[in-house]
Amino acid sequence: MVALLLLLLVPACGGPQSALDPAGLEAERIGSFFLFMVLGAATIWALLMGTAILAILRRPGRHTERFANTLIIGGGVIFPTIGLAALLTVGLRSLPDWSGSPADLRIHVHGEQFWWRVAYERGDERIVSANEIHLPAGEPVEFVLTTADVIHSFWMPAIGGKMDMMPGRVNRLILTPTTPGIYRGACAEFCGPSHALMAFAIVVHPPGEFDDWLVAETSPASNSAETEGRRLFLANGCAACHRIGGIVELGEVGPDLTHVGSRRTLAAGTAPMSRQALTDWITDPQALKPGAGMPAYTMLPEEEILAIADFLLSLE
Amino acid sequence: MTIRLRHLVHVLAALVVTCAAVFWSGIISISASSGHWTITDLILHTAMRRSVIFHARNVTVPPDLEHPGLVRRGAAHFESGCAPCHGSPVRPRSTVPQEMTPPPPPLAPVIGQWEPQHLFWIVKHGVKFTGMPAWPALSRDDEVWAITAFLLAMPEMDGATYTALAYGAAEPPARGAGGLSLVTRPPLENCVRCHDHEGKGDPNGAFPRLDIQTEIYLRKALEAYHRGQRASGIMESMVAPLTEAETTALAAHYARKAPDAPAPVDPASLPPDILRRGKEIAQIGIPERNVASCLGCHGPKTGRPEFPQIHGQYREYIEIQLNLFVSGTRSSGADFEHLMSMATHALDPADIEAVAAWFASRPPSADN
Repeated sequence: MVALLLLLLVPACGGPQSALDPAGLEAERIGSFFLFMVLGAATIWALLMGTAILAILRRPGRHTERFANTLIIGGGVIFPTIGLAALLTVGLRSLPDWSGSPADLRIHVHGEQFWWRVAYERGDERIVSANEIHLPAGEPVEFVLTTADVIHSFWMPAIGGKMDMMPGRVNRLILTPTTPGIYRGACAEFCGPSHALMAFAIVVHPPGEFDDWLVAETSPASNSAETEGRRLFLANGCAACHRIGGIVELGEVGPDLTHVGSRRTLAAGTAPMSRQALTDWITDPQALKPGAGMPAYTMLPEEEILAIADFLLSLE
Repeated sequence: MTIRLRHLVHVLAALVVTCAAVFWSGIISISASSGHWTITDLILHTAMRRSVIFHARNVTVPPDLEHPGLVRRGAAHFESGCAPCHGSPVRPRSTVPQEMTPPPPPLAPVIGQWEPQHLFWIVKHGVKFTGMPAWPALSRDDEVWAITAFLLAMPEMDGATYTALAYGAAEPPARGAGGLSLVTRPPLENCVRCHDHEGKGDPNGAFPRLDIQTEIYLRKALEAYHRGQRASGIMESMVAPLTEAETTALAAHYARKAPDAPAPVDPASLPPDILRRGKEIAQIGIPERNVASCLGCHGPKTGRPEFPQIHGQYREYIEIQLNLFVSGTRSSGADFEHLMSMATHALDPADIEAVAAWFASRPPSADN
């Protein structure tokens, strides 16, 4: 019965945000290390419990001093020393060598309350984006992790990590995703009222397709038509904080919106991207995400907000 | 006989009963016509003096109280708000307030008895048991300092200078009128005293220019003052008597009168690093401190008509308003003001100086 109930927990080991279902070299390494540790710990636990039960069940009898010494020194000193030394050796050997970077793609991720500022750097190119991480399968990627305000932690369980983002420091992380697919990452260090709403989608592209994506992301906004939504976006001062490449490049306080329509989630994983979610968000961000830096626009008529939402969704 | 405790208790009780009887009988006259006894006057005045000195002990005096813009701002309000009771360099006190007890004193002879921080405190908080009211907008220390600056300059001021400061381009009232009669003037005549016929404001930055603003912005600003949502002791008291129709007419009068006026400050007269810093903040803001780009809303060609034009506005006015936004004083007036408090809250005084200087050095017709 207990075993059956435990079995029910097994499906939770998979899914887009699981370190037990690895999709990257480092996550695989951590995964197999974890498996080895669990099996090893289970074995040692079983041995210990077996010995203890044996000692309780057996009639007390006399043992030679030699036997007792062997048991105590062997089981209490030699085995843990060798076991821990072996673990340390394996652990140290599995530390990655980051003295040089094999990656020619660097992704700068800057934690903010409560979203992710992302910039892709390859050669001389630097492409600004936000709240979504795109990766090429089979290629090492260097993450440069910084924070704007408090301690955040950048974690993509299926790919690898995590690594803290510390104020005043630059932390590095080199990961190699292996399996194309869509995963989920999250902030893993409590950072404020909306810490739980600080997540992101991870898209691992099959080899070759990543370059197409990067070209698309580099290009200016896809919709350059002079729509009413665009006029309202500019007239209401959205551009004081949000950049849209090719249309308006002024403020940089909030997330870059050049390709916001193609993102899977809104407000760093707070809601799936949709017209309704976007409208709710613009009207009153605090209602969806307490502590968010964006002001409410409850004073705008609903049709203006809808027009702005439609304009943003058209930016793919 | 020995005085025992119960004797004292009896005397005390008799005293309390007598006092209550006197208090309740109404025998004490509160008539203003009888004035105070000399001893009452002395006690009240000393208490007032000691209290002002005590409570003003932590007030910091700003360094530039001689600034002509500050003196002018104070003079214009003094004429409508203070002169009716206290008199002015051109006009003695009206007769009605002189019958108050205590009578409001003519100020020129007494100003020298106070330090600037004491004058500030009295103007800001008023004085209990006298007719002296508190400042209508307690969050506007800048305005109270303007009055203080004028008070300090007043004892030496001649009548012609005073009239020029208090009336600007407007026609001063005929001899014998003035004071309380200001409320019966056509509203525009009072606007003109500070903002000029054409809305040019004051070149020393005492008053903002209105000739670059849209009609809807001006109307909404007047309405916000009228409803008490935008704090200003000066503007709230000027706008209070206006009818809706008058508000609309005034906004229409000043709207976009001179959209092509030249910049009030010559960019060449400003240090290049201030100009560069101001331009940078205006264009991209300060992203690392969550300060938004000014031009995102205040680009003249794109922003809503509710947003004020600040290209070509006086730097003193921009600085004051930014300080009000940063301190959170100005945050709930018109529909869009909360955007400004969020966009500017991390600006420091050097940023404010730079960005105000840059905007003041731009012609109002500038594209961005």
